Amino acid sequence: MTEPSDPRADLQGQYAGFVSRLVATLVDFGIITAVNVVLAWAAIELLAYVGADVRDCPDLESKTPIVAVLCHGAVVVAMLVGTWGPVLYALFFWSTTGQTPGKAMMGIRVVRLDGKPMGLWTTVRRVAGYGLSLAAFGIGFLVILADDRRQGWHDKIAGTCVIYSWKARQNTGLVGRARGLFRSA
Amino acid sequence: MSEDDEATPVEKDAPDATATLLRLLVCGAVEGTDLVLRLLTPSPEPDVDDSEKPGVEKDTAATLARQALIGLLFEAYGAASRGASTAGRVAATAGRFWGSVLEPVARSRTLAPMRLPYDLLVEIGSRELHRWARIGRAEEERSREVAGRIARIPVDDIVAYLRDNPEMEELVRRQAESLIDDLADDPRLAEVIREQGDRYIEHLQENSEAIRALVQSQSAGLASEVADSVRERTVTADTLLERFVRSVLRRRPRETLDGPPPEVRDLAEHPRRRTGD
Repeated sequence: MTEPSDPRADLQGQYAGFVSRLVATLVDFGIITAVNVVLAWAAIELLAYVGADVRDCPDLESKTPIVAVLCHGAVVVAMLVGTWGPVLYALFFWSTTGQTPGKAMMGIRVVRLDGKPMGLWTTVRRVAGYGLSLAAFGIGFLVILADDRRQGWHDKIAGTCVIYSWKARQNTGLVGRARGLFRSA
Repeated sequence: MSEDDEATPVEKDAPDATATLLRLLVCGAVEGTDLVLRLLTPSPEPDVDDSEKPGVEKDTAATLARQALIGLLFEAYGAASRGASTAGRVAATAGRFWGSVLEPVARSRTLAPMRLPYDLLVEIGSRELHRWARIGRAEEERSREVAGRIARIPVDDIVAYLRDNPEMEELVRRQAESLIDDLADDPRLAEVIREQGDRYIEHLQENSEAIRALVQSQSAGLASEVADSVRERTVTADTLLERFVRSVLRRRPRETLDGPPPEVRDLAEHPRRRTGD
């Protein structure tokens, strides 16, 4: 069955495109950043309360070893959360519902190409592929624009795709204006 | 039958155009006369009792005379109408009687030379009568048209004058401000507003659950509407950007490609459905 060509057609269940996925990723990035900032601010304030400065943690041999442990521990936790937080975030949401909060907001869902539930192993492969796409200066994401199934490298690696979960439709006014622009150009 | 119940001679024959015209003329004359008299008569002293004024008795007599004159006018018109009607009936009966009696004489050969000038006279008279009727019809219509025009124009002029008149605007503004000031200081209105406010608050308290549900549904509806609007735009951008890239790379348009298989499309609505393992 081919994809509908009518701009007013219902696109629910069809492959989701690059822009929707990019916006969803930006929303998720914003959420993760906001959570990190709040946690970091809370940690800094707590340490300041006990007399420690995270920019200049006291030595373990200092007069207040407990404060030194707390300060160094906080820095380590912050690094771990900053590094693995997004990974855990993606692992949890993709493996459970297939939708991160950003994807839910944009009405898209990650599913397996064979229709089976995502599962942890598929999710891990997808996260790894995500890292690879990112490491290749984002080329792995840009291939979504040209792929027949709108799959990025991470989708190819994990055997997944992203579909519209809402009764997606195009904005006919915007389509009309874009057509007019292309015609005049 | 009392005096009040006594009808005027033309009252029973309604609708009567001539009587209506007569009443209009009388009304115009009476009102006009009253106006002129009011303007000409000096205003009375405020401390003088009405019963002691010499003009009151005089006015009553004048009023009586005027009303008698009007009554006479209508009586005369009624009598004339009845008389004309009776005369018409009598003339018709006499005409039929004398016509049948004189018919043999009129048709005799002896009177034949006299019949020609008589018929000619009748024909001329009839023609003249019809000419007058034609003129009457035309003039009547023209008069109605003129009367209608006169009745309409002044109203429009007055409305336009009032609309464009700054003094009138100022007057209305002043009256409205005065009314608003009065209402603002009116304790009765304050009481009504307070009562209404109390009633609304009571209603809100009694139906707090329903109102909460309503507010929640409204908020959710608004959020959903905004989200749908953003999604629509991104879906459109998906299509347009991909179309451009695929055309640059000379790849087949998306419309010609196969969509996801049914088991994948089903997951859009039922994400937890197992399709076999």
